[in-house]
Amino acid sequence: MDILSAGIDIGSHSTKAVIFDGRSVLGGHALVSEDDADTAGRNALHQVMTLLGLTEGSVSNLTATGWGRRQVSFAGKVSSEALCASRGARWLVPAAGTVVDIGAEGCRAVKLRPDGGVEDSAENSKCAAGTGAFIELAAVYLKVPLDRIGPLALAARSKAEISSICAVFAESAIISQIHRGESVERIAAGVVWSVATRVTELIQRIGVSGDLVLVGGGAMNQGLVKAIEEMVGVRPMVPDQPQFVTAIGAAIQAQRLEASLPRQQSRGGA
Amino acid sequence: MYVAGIDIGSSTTKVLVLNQRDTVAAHITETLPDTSEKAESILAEAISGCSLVPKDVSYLVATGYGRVNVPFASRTVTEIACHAKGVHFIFPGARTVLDMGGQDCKAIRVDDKGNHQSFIMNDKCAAGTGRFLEVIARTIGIPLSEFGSLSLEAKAPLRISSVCTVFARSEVVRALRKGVPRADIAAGICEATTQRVVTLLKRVGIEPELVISGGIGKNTGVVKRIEARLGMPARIPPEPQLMGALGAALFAREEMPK
Repeated sequence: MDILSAGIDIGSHSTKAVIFDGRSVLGGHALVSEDDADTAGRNALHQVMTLLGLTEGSVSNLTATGWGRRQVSFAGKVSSEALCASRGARWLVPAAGTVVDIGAEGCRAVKLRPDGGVEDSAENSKCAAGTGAFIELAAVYLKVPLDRIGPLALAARSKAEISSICAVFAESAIISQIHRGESVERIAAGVVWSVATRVTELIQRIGVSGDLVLVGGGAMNQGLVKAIEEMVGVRPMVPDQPQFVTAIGAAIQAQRLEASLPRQQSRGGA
Repeated sequence: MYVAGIDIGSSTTKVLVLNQRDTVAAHITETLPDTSEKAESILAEAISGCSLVPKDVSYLVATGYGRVNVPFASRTVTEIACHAKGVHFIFPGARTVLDMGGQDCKAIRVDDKGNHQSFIMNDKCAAGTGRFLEVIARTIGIPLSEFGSLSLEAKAPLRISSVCTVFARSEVVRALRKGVPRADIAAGICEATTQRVVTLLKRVGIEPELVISGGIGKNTGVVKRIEARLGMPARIPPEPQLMGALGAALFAREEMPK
C-alpha cells in the first residue's frame, strides 16, 4: 500500500487538510480557522480522514504550513507557505514558473526554481488592500455573497473608481458610491480591479517566467483572475479548488522530507 | 468687516468667522458628499447666530481636502499652511505641529512667524489617522469622545500586532470574544496610534513647543501617550479641530483688499 501523507494549511481565514498518496490527492477538507490553530488543524485532518474512511495511524507523514503552522503540535514537520504553494502548483501545473497565492489576509508572488523550489518571492501581509479581506468587506457592503463578486465584476461593462491604496478608505468610497446609486456590477468591477492592481505589483516585482499560476481563495474569483490577466498580459492558470494548493504542496513536501531522511529516523522526525 | 475660513475635511467641515479683532463665529459640521457645493449654506448656518448673512463676509479662504470646489471662496490655501498659521496664532512658540484628522495625519515644522518649513503627511493608509480610532471605537461600541479617557483606565493594554486597520479590527473582534476588557483594547489602540504618529514626528524632527491639533487633540489617551513617549509636554489649542479654519480666516484677514 502507498504511503499516505497529510498537508495542513492553517490560513488566517480557513484551515485546509488534504491526504496525498504520492500519486494523487485522495481528498481534502476546509473549515473556518478557530483562534487555536492546533484544534483547527486537528479538526480539518479528522474530517478528511473520516471522509476517506482512514483510521488513525494510517497517515504516516504530516507537514503543516500557513501562518499558524508552528502551533500544530501533532505535525511532524513544518514548511513555509511559499514553498508549499510552489510544490503544489508545480505538481498541478508542471510548467508553473510564477505562483501567486491570494489569501484572506495576504498575498504572495513566488518565482520557482527549475526544481520547483523557491527562487524569489514578494509578499504583502501588512495591508488589507490587495487581499481577500478587502473583497469580503466589499461583499458585506454590497450585500451579496462573497462568491458573487467575481461574476458581478465580469458582468460590468465599466468599473467604478476604487482606491487600491487603503482598504478602509476604499470602504468609504464604496459606501458613498452605493448612496449615489452606482451599480453593484460596476462597484464589484472596481473592487476586483483595486485588488488586482496590488497583486500585479507583487507579480511585477518578481517577474513572470513559465506559467503564471494563481492559488488561494482569491483565485476562485474569476473577475479577479480576469483583471490580473488584463494587467499582467498573461493568461493565468487556475487549478481546480485553488484554495487547497498550498495544503497539497505541504502533503507533497511531507513525502519528500520523508524520502530524504534515513529510514530509522523518519518517524516523528522534527 | 468680516472674513471667514472654511476647512472642508474628510469627516468634518469647520467654519470660523473673524472681524478685525476677534472670532465672531465658529461651527463644526459633518462633511457630506456635496459639502463643497453647499459651502455657502454652511457658512450661513455658522453665522446665523450672530445675525449675519453670507454677503456680510467679504473674503473667504477655503482649505482642507474639499477646498477646490467651493464656488464662492476668494482663494484656496493648503491645509498645511492654514494649520501652521492657526496654531502659531494661538501658540506663537509652536515649532512642531501634529495634526491628525479623520483621514490623514501631518507632522509640520513651523518657524517663528507661523510659516510651515517642512511637513510629512500620511493620507494613504488609515492606520495612524482618526479613521483608525473611529473604526475601533465603533467595533467595541464606545463613542469616540470617550475612547481616550477609557484607555487610561486600562490595566493590561492589549498588544495590537497589525498595522492595517482592517486586520487590527479582526484582532479586536477576537479579543472581545475572549473577554478582554474594552479599556485594555482602547489602550492598545491608543498605543498603536501613538507609535505611528511618533514615527511621523521623528521623521520631520521634533522641536519644542509641540502642539497637537485636529480631532486627535481631544483624545487624552493618545495625547498623554505621545507626551510620555517623547518626554515632552504637548500644548492643545482650546478648539483643536478649528486650527485649519482659523488659519484660513487669518489668511483671509491679511489678504482682504483694504
